[in-house]
Amino acid sequence: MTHAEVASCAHPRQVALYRRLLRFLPEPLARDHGDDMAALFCHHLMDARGSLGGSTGVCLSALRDLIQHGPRLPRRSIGDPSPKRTPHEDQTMIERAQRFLSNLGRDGRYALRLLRREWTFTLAATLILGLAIGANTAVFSYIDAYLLRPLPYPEAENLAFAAREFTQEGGISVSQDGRTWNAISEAQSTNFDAAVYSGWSTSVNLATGTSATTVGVQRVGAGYFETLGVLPLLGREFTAAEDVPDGPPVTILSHDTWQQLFGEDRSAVGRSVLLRGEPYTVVGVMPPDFRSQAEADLWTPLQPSTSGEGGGTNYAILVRVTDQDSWAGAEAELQSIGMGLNEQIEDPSRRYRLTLTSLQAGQSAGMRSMLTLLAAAVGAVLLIACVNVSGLLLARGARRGAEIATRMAIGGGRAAIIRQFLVESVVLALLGGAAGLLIARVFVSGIASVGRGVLDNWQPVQLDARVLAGTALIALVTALVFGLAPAFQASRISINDALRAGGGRGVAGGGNRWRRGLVVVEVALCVVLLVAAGLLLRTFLHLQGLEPGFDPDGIVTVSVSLQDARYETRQSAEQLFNDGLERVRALPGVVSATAGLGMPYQRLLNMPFRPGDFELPEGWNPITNMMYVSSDYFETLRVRVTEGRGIDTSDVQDSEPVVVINEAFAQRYLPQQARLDRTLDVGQSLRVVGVVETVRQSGRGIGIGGPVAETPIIYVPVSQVSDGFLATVHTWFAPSWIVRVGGEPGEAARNIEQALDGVDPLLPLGATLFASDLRSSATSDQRFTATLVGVLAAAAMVLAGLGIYGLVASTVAERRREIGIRMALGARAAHAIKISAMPSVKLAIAGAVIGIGGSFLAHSGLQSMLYGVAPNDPWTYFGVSGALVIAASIASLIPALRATQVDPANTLRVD
Amino acid sequence: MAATAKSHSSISMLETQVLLVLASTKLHGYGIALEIQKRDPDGPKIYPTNLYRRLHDLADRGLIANSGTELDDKGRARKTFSITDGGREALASQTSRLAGFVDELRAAEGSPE
Repeated sequence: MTHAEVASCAHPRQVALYRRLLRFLPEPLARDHGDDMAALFCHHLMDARGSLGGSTGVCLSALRDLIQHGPRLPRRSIGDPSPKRTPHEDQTMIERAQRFLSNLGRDGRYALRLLRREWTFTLAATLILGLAIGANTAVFSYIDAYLLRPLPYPEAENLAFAAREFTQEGGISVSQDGRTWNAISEAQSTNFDAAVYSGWSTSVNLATGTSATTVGVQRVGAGYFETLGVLPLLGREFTAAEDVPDGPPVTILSHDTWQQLFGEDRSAVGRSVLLRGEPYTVVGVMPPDFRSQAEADLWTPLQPSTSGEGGGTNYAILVRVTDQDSWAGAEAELQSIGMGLNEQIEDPSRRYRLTLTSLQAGQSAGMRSMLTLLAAAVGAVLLIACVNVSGLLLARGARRGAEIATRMAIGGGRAAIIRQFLVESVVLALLGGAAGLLIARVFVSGIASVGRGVLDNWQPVQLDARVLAGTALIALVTALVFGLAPAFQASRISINDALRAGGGRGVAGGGNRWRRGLVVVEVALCVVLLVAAGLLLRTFLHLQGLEPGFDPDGIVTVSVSLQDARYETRQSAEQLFNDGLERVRALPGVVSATAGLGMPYQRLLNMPFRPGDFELPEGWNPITNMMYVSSDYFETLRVRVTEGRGIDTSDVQDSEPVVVINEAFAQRYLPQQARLDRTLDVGQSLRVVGVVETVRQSGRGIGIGGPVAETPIIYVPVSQVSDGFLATVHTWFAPSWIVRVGGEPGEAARNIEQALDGVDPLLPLGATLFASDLRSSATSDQRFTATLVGVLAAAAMVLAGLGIYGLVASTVAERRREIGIRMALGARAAHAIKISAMPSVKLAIAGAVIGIGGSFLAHSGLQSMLYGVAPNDPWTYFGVSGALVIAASIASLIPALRATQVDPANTLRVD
Repeated sequence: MAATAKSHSSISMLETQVLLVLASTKLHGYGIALEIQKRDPDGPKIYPTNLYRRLHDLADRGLIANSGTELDDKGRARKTFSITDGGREALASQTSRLAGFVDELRAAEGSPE
């Protein structure tokens, strides 16, 4: 083969790569014979064509040939006499790499030996790093599950929500109404497919034989599963003909539900299940592990409309763009659809731009700020841990002065010392990483149990290969962060001084300068974390301490899903409530009982209204929260009636339609005027017969923000609502019996459950909750963040304390002689304590001041999570820094007290 | 020459093949490899680094020598090698060594169990 043929070799990429590898060979050989070698390689490639293994086998053999023989090639042209070899010139790159690896191996073995010998140090450093890396790994696994890992659908990056971006006030909402869905579905775009669904699942009863269970059902439109990219395992998905108002009752089962109900019988499709008291035909079964946008056991058609449910923004619209290039086109189409819809909106504050937001981003929007906060907090703890271990290594480096000096004196270069120290850091970090993985398992389940009700288990949180890689990365970065300073410090030793000083002081001075800096950093970071924890804790306490507006003691509630064909009329629902109340009131210890659509601390129905005989005040939209209640509602909860009367037994179907408003409603919509006998219209005209004190509800409803808020509410008698209204609200909300008992509610709860269970055996009861449960579920986000950040801040404080303790302890050890002399000359113990501890306390104060500055900058980001406390709340800042300085003083005093036990005579003799 | 005798005794199969090719013509490394492969098509593939390491060894032991350059069809210079007298001597002693070895093999093959 000629060189021209080589140039046109049929394997140009392999040959080019081979030529690049030839550069690792001695330069004269590559220069004289590189072309010939490449030609030979190409010849083998051509020869191997069509044979088993083919070119891959040749490439591997050539690589082995290079590795095996390359290092043995002399660094001169063939036939040249061999010169006197100098060790350095003689090294090829491969040899150098081999030497480097063997050095690294030696350093590693040495590090392991050393770490085993100093096992207390190793254990302390491993634990500190393990805790910090474990916390980071755990939080990373959550971040991975919620924000990073692709959603479990094919080409999930092409999935999006059709979202409304409000033009005036900003903010994005993925809730849509029926009109928007109609406009999008009529668009027939080539850029995207779309499907409509309800974003949450509701509990309904599923009757099997003689008993009933509660299952989660989500309503989805035709084409939803195809748009997601997951088709049913058996049967089919809903057709457009089924997905219309009053369409046939059909359902698709999850794999689990199919197994439970039909034992994997494939003939299940076509059979029926009794759902909400009505037979539903099974048309499909989803594959195992499939998850839709809500936790659902089965799906029914959404049957979207533009009135009722579809009149409000109660839908979500899933969009699958054809490919990534179609995003812009799809967005443009949605925008023009949105412009058409906006023309009918008069209120400029409600105008919006229709756009796309990625499904993953939309799905995790609620978690994002919380996870970011947690990531920042664990990151800070990791930094503090690094600083701590760095401090330990510096102190250890100082003690190893003699060893380092000896190594350098016998020719070990500075680079070798740095390498040795870095290898030790990496070994420590790997030990810490391994411990961290074990600890992370504990943390992950800890976070899960603290975060119950806060973290939607949207994707399983797992410690898998991704997280493992993340941990390894964290560990290695950690090693660099904590290992660099001690490594450079140790290598800057003065051999003479170190050897003469007998191993102690050669590097101590410089090392301690570093350590003092580290303590300042540690304390500053710690203050930032503690301030965050303090603010979050004060928020939580503030919310817990708010006057609830009712008497929570002795309240037991039992909810029941009335999404059931047998309870679609007002009469049947009211009968159910009354039967239950009759049974409960007969129980011993029951003071009073009632029923209602909503409970304190919960989210209520948003309801637009028209003012009847009053003017709407400037700046408020006519939309309120609404619930229906039976008689004795206010009496049972002990909500004070401030004017007029509550809802009572005189309010019946045929009597005058009435409404009771709360103070928040009255103050907002009827300021400084008579409230009683006003009328307002919610489909029918209602007369205000009473005003009650404001009960705190979940702030996620309409009204003032905050997790528990004083929101405007109107109460209507259950006897006066329409059948249609009941059927609609019961698809979203489950009503409850609310019972007040004298004495211990835990005892009474069981009797109440038993009594209610007998009302309708085919109607499964929902959760039994006490007032404290209601409150804690309303403030669960705050409890979650306050607990986690609090635990992390406490860990940071302990670490910072240990850091200070270590610094003072080594200062005392180093200054034994000086202290001894001073005491021999008559210095008092107090003086010894002062000179040992005071510098550290000063450092802690400096750190606290820097930390307060940092907190001011960092915590404005917390604003959206704080209630009842400002991000720059001075009490939190000073309280936290004061506590930290006290802790620092204690951490300094313990080792400083040891200074007073120095026996002057002894220290003088030792040196 | 004691040193040469020692060198002869440690001549590998590949080195023998190189010497054999160079005994009839002077050639560059690539050509040597092709020629060996042509003579022994079923033999193992000769990979470049191994080949040049052998050429180095043979040159260091004085069995082959650089014999200038040869221009290829693109006008590029390729370094060629030729066998030395020492090389021929080594090849001869290797040949007789191998011949003895072959005789032994034949005898073993012919003799009954």
